[in-house]
Parts: sequence; structure tokens; C-alpha cells
Amino acid sequence: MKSLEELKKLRDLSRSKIEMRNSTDKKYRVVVGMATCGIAAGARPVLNALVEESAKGIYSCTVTQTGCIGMCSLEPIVEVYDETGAKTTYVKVDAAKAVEILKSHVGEGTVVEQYTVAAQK
Amino acid sequence: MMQDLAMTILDIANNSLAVKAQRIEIEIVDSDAKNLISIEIKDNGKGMSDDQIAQAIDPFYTTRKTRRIGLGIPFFKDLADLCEGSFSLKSDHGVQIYASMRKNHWDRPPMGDLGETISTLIQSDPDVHLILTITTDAETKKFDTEEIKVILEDISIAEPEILFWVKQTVNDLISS
Repeated sequence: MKSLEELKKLRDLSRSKIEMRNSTDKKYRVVVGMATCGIAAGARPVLNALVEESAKGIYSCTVTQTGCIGMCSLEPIVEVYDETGAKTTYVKVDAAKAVEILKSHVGEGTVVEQYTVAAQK
Repeated sequence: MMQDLAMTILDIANNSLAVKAQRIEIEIVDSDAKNLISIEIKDNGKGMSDDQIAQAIDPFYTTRKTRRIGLGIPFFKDLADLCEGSFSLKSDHGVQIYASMRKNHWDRPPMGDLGETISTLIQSDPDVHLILTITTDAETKKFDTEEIKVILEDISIAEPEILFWVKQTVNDLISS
């Protein structure tokens, strides 16, 4: 592993960012379905896009994985839970849509209506 | 069927996380000399009964109660059948699942983004001890989360910056 020095630098960078990230209560919980159906449909790049984007530190959310959500034909699925536990389900998400959802819904509190399961025909 | 091998590995290793395995070993052999690619995933989870092993390759068998199909293991076996390799599933203190493929077979999927598979597994359960080995004709390369955790000290391996480093390091490991 040639980049261990780089890892040490990233460790120190993380340490400096952690306080900022943990200083506020997380308002949202973002959940990605990562079962066989989700993976096959492309959920892994969606999760990684969400992790990378949320690392920028301006979002009040945690990103986690779950199993099969039950609508396999609409995968990849991303669920956003707000503080009250209310859930918005986004379907057929890709990496670009995931970043858009994060910016709009988590960042500004505006649901991206056209990607929700309710907007599916 | 999954588009690439990395997706299949993620799906199978997720089974290990689901049974709370603390240690998962992923062993990949990539040999031009033997015209072989093999994938073995071993965990120290709760294991499977003989009955479960016998039924696991049936797509209409699953342990979950929500619906009556489970495609993860059948997909893995299919991969071996399709690419003229072999498949085995054993349980001896945990589960050992293996599939091999003829490397130059028409139907063998590409490796895909293995780095992202590893970072996704770590994001799912940062406490898991993950060991990846890749054996080519020239050498064996190893990626072990415990070695990284020592360097990270109090910082979680699931911090976004670290996950991104993991992804890149694993992919560098394959291509180098």
C-alpha cells in the first residue's frame, strides 16, 4: 500500500472536520436500498455519490444502507426521513439524481417531486 | 445477473454482514496462466444448516419473510455455470462460498469497480474486519482493514474522506 502517508494526512483532515460535522443534530436520514435488486440496478454508485457529496459537510444528514425496500422494479431507491420520521421515497435514482436530491431536499428542504414514487406512472 | 463481478461480490458479502459476521475474507484469483478467475468469500458469521445449504441455490428459497425469492446465491452459482467454472457452498464455523470462471469465456463479466464494493461494505458496517486478497500469476496483493484502523487511531474508517481513499487504494491495487 503505497499511499499510507496520504492516509495519515486524510486522518488529520477528517479529525478537523469531524467537530463541524457532529456539531449539529442531523435533521435527515438518507437510506439507500442495497439488496440484490438494488445492486443490480446500480445502487452502489448512488450510495457512493451520496457519501461523497455529504462529505462536503454542509448537509445535516446521515447516509445509511438497508436491504430490499420491496419495489424491485423501481430500484435504485433512496428514502429520505425527516426529523418527524416522515418518509419521502425516490425511485429509479442514479448518481446525478442522488446529488440533486441531496442538494434540494436535505440542503434546502424542498422535495424533488419528479423523482418521487408518487410521480411514477 | 449482475453486470460485473464487483457487484456480485458486494451482494454475497452483504449476506455475511446480515448475519453479523465480524470478519469477512474475499479472495480473488486472477490467472492468465490457468485461464481462471475465482472468487471465494469466507465469513465467521452464524453459518448455515445442511438444509439451508441444500436449498440456498434455489431462487425460490429465502430466509426472509417478506417474499418468497432470494437471488443472490443463485446468481453467483449461475456465473460459474455460465462461464464453465465450478461452485461450492460450505458451512464450517461460518460460511465459505466459492465460484470460478474460465477467464476468457464469452460470458464472463468484467471485474467492475471493486474499490467501490469494498468502500460500500465498510460504510455498511465500519466494525467489520475485511480482508481482500488478489492473486495474479505474478504476486498476491492484500488489503486489510485492521492495518488501516491502526493508522486511523480514533478516526472512523467510515469517514467519507477515508472511504474515498479506500476505494482508490483498492482500485490501484488491482490495476498496478
